[in-house]
Amino acid sequence: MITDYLLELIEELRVPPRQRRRIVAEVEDHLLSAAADLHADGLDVASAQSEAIRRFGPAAALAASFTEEEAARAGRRVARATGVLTGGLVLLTAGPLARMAPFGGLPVAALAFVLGQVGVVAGALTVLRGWRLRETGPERLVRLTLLVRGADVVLACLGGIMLCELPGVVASISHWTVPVLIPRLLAAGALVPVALAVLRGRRRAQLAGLPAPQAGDSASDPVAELAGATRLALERATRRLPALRGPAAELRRLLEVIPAYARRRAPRLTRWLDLRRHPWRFALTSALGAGLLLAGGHAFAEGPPTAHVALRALVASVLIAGFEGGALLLGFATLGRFLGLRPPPRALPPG
Amino acid sequence: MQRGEAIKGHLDGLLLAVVADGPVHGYAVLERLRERSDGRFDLPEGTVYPALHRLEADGLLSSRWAVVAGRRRRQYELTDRGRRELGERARDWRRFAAAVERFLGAAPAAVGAPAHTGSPA
Repeated sequence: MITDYLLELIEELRVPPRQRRRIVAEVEDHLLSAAADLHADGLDVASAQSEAIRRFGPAAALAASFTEEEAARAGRRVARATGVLTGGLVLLTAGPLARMAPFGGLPVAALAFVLGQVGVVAGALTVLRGWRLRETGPERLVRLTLLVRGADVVLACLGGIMLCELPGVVASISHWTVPVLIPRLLAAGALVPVALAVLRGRRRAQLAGLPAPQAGDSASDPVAELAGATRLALERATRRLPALRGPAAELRRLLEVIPAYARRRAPRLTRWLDLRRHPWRFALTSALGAGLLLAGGHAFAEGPPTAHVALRALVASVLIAGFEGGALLLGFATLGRFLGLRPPPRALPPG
Repeated sequence: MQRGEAIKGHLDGLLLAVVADGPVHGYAVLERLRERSDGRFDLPEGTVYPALHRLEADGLLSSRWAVVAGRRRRQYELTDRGRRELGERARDWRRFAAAVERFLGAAPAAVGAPAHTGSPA
């Protein structure tokens, strides 16, 4: 009877072989000990084994629990590695490496820049969700699904940027100097094993059978995710450094007070920017805001505001704001639901 | 709330407290839980193992194979981090329990139905 239970457990477990052996050995020891104690209390052997198994719980539920733990661990590894890749994306598109070797024409550079931004958003969401995977609960696997999707998007963006840069790199390779070559080679050399780690962890996380997000999941609510991650981070920080308990409590209070104050003082603006209720309005406003910020930065970098410079900066700013806003909206339209930024559609009522 | 559900929220802390008594294997963890709770903590025994593995992965427990009573068993032990975590959880729990006690401790053990004062609508 115990052997049958163990065979069912082995069949259901989706964990690496070494861990499977350990789990089966521990469960076998537990069931044999429990059955021996029950037998000593007066039950016959078959009844004692049956009772030990009943108290232990169904093999399928136990296997699902272990598989979920393993998948969550893999998910956290994926999130950490994706965080490193996201840092690489920033370096490649907006950091010192990008400035050292601006290859390719404007369209290619613009595409690489957009891919970099999409990757950074997806990477930030992935790291956030990895952090929240420490929490157990019914939505943990949905969070894992969204995390794996985010990692996929980061990998795709990184690959896209590499492809964008490849023709320029090939064309200009003869002009490369050592200071340009070495950081690029080091960056590529460091990112490849990290990308492989993401792929490995991703495969392991998928063994849990990842469910698709459903309407009403808090895991696909980025506002709730951010609030949950902040609470968790504060809890952990105060556990490690008790001296932070006072400032952390103050910060928690501010995080509750500021949105309430904004809702009271600017109800129309806060309703307009409510990501949960009006995702498209939120995206449009963010897109315009991001575009204007970039344009402002560009105008500032142009130098002292002479008439000629001001005109040139104005034209460039309008172009940049339009491009940035358009790109952000396009990214939201194509990937918003996939990455859990837009809630999934509500299921239609039956009949 | 079902008792099993209520325990689940505190399972990690309870396990750390049980393991703090000294190295222990999974079956003995359940026995200690049952003994120290006078049989009140009666949850499906299998649920303890994923929790033990999770605590180990988080660095709060360590484990190794050992021969106990002639049988090869996985024994769990508290790490330094686990000891600190247990201390924090115990402090949090004492604060929480003291706050609840101020309300429920003063309430009568059995409260009857409120007296009917109004006329039916």
